[in-house]
Amino acid sequence: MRVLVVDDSKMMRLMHARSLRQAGYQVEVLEAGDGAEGLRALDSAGTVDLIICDWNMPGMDGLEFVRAVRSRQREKNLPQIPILMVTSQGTQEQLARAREAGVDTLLVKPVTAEALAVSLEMLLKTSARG
Amino acid sequence: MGPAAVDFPPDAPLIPRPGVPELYRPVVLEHYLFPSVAEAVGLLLGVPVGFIPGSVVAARWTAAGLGSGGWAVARLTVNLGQEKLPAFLVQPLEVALEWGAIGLRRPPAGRESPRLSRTGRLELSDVNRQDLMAYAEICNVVACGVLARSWEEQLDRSLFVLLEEVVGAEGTNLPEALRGDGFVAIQGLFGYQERPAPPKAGPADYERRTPWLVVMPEGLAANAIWRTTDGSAREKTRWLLQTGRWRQLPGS
Repeated sequence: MRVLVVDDSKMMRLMHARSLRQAGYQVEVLEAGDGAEGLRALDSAGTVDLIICDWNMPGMDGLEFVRAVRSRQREKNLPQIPILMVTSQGTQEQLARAREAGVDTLLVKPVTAEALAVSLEMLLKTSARG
Repeated sequence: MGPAAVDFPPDAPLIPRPGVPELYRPVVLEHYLFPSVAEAVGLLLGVPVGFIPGSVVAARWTAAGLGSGGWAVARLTVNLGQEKLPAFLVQPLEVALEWGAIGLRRPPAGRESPRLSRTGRLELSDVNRQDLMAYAEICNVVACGVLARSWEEQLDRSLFVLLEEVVGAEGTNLPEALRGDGFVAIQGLFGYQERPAPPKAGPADYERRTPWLVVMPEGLAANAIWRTTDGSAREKTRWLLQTGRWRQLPGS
């Protein structure tokens, strides 16, 4: 599985990669430090199976990044990549804003391997059906 | 197990004050807040981290109590109901940088200790700064996420926490905000190690231990560390502040 992890913190990018592997996924991880870099990584990667992105980032933040990804997919009629967003707080308001932007799942930091596994299983099943 | 039974590391600025009877247990801190923090740090670093049970001691804050070493200071704003209150997380800088380095998977050989210049000012190398940035992310997740959620759940009151900044500072030259009066310091000890822990290891078995201090206004402490509605929170806080003394200050 090819995963794009977009987070300004290198430590968080490492943690997500570790959690994916602990959850039993064999992953190739592409990394980006903000939304703009994430879009460039998507352009050069061709396709990815999953995007994990942070909410708060300098420059293009997580919501802007997700809106841009979804917009490109609509314009170019590309398949929807499942997007999992992580945030420190995870309020109901954040959840509503994330869904409006096109986020599939919102998880609260620090994300455990177990939480990631459960979310991914649901997300990838839904994605395969859709 | 009370604080007297716990082995306090040499860099712990607070140590137990002898002869203080155990009148109460700071259950919210000991059973919820500090263990949640330890679990989150362990997840972030990818190594075993645990709160040392019975290690909580507290005293009225005095900047002189930290002595002359280097400290990592995270400045927070706690929003409790309508109030906005300052609070701080304080930890030995050496450990903060080590945690940052562990989080970044920096091998021990590539890590650097902070240095003091000829004028006695703290000098951080590029490696130190990268590690401190990673530590700031730990503080962000811990304070704004884990601690705030656990706190809100325990108090059943609206509470959120903002991380304003994380700096490295000398004990003799702390940020201005920490030089004021009216703060209290509550210290918990955390164990950690980079080797995987054996299955049955308890927190007392960790290879390394570090103090982590929460510094906050006394009023916030009374409102936020006791799950009580019988008006006893101030008395309990006064007791808690008797449990520790500053290692650096004789007679404190």
